[in-house]
Amino acid sequence: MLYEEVEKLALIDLQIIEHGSKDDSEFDFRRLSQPSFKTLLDLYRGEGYFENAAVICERAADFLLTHISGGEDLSEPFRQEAQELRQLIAEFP
Amino acid sequence: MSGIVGAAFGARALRSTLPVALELERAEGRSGSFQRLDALLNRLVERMLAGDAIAEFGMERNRPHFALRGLEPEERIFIDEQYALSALEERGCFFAPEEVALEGVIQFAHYHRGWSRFGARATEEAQVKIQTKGSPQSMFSWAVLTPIAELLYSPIRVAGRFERGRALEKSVGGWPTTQAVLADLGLDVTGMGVTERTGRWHNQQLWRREQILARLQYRPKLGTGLRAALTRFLAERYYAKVDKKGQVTRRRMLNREYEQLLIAIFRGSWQDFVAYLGEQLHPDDITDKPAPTLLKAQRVELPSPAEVRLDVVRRHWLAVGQVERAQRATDLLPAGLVPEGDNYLYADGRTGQLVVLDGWRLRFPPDLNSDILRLWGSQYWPGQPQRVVTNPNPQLSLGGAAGPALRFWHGAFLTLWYMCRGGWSRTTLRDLGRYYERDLLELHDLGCSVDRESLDSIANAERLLGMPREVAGKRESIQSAGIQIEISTEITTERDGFERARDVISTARDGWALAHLEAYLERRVQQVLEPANRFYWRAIADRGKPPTLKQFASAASALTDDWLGGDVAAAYSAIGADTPIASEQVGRPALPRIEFVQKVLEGLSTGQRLEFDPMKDRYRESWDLVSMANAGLRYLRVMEGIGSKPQLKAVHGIVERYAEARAVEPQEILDWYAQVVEWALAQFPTQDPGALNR
Repeated sequence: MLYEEVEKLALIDLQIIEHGSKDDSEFDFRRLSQPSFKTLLDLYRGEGYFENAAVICERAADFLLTHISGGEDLSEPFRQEAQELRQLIAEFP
Repeated sequence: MSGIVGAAFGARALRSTLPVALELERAEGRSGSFQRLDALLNRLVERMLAGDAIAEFGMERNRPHFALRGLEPEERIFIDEQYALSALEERGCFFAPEEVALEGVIQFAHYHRGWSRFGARATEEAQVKIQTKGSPQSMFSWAVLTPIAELLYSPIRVAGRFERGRALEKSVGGWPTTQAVLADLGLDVTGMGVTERTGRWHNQQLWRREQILARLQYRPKLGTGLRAALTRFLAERYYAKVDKKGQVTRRRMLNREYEQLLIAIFRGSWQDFVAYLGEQLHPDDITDKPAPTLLKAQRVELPSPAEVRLDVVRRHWLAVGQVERAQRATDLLPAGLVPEGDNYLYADGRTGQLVVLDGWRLRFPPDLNSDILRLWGSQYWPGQPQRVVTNPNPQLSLGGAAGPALRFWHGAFLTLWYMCRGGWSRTTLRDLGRYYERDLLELHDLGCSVDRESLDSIANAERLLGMPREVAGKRESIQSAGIQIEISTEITTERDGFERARDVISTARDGWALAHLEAYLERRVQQVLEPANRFYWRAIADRGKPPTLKQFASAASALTDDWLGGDVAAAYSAIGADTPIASEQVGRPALPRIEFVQKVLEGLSTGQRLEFDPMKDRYRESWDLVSMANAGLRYLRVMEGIGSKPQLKAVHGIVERYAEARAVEPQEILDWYAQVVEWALAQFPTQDPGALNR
């Protein structure tokens, strides 16, 4: 049950930060690291739920798309991982 | 394996299906020795597949814990008799591991049913490392249950593809073989649909898992079948490795994987396995000598260099006790009486001062300190174990040798000191037992427990202390936009009654020492001597040749550095073995460490004023320079070990932070640092390293 609870909390966290970034809030959540994306990605990938994992990657990439940190596009690693997962889904039985 | 020829039972069994091989085994009277194992496995596999939690994993009282659940008394006895490390060794099995890693796979069905959506994660994360000595159930679970569970879990792994890298390749690559074995055991592998296309959404994958789990149902004698499957893996390996005469030596056939199976099925006996197959032992495996024993690996006498050091540890114990007993609340307690790290300098942000951690130098008798420097001033170098190099902090090494008794009793004193004198106490007297649980357990294991009464008296000593009173620390006023802000950077508490509680701790400490100190110290040496001894003689018994120098040095590292002054050759002598090396002193055991580190700091700061007040601009840089100065002795150790100036990769950690903070290439900083260390070293007259301090 522990992992289900972790999943639930991480999903709520994503809703909050995604909502917050669309508001005219003074604080930009993208400035912080967002461990919930990684938590969910690890949980789903570690179970073979590649569709769920790919969706999380795409959400993370969209969330971070407009945020550049120190010249680095933080969305890129998630975008790449989403592509890898889609490729795996196509290849695996 | 249709290519197997020969009339021996093993060859005929391999040419048959698994059920037929089992029939043959029974008909030819070869199943008798498996009766108790089969009965146990049938019950355990039934429970495993029913989703029972058959094992307890995890930590208990700060230690790794593992136990099988729900065993009947006779099953427990069977495992104890057959899978105890000592029993395996009596059968000539000297390759049985002394530590095993146990994993959640042995109850995968439990995790997949209990945590249905994240069963793979739960299975993967349950793991624990256990010493097999004293835990036959760990040996049994590692040798027998793990390979059986791996077979049964395989369909879920292959269908889910949730592993990565080599683990995934192994599961998928081994699937055709596994599939055939499971089918041979009568399981509906086709119905599992392991390789059928299944969607990758969680509900689709869960549905597939349910299909597989539903077909992994227990059927009568499945445990027996699985035992036969493991036996078959062994037999296949045997016939794949035989020479033209149809024989193979144990060493040629067994790698780690097959050693595990030999322990599982034949309790480590190579002779029993070959006899079971109906084959002849290879001439190299036949010996007229009695079965190998570990006579030499039993208790060994304390080596004389350790006796010498034990005497110094005794004197150190008394010196620490005297300092503690004489300490008054109104006096300063110098930092670093018993070092907890190898640094000599500490930048104290609370006081803004650079502190030298040299309490031992200020409070211990000079002859004790010089003996510690002489006897713990060296360590062996792991890359070339014959080289003996400078030990950065001999006082720290002595503390490590003195072990949990010193940590606990001095920890009790420091706890009281910081409770009474402010600062940050790591725990309270009341919680001391919990905070030092690991050390207290180790003392218990050595037969030198701190009794309940002493712990209670120390806990109750808290009542002798006065009420905490707040003491304001450093205050600063800042004027900003016409507003005065006062910042208090630290508020601590002090309590009266230090001396009264100190006496309670000292009395308890003396009582413990009277009852246990002598036995404790001797057992501390035996605690590292025995594993080194066993490691060496087990290797001889198993492989017929000693371990390599590096292997032995690593197994005997605590013995060598704690009790033999870094002399690996002395470690060989201590266990009665011929030494292949003569240790060579290349270090500077008598180097005055504190002065050397201060000199390095002087060279690094090049006359600039260092600031240790966190509010000051140069604080960060000053702090980095102190860290690098402290690392000077580690750098020196590497330089002596490799016999030349260290390359960046060997000492990267020392300069990395400084280089990063200043956006300078690490190599540039390293070159400068090397010059400073060499300059500092040149300030101290070269000593004749002379003989090793035995």
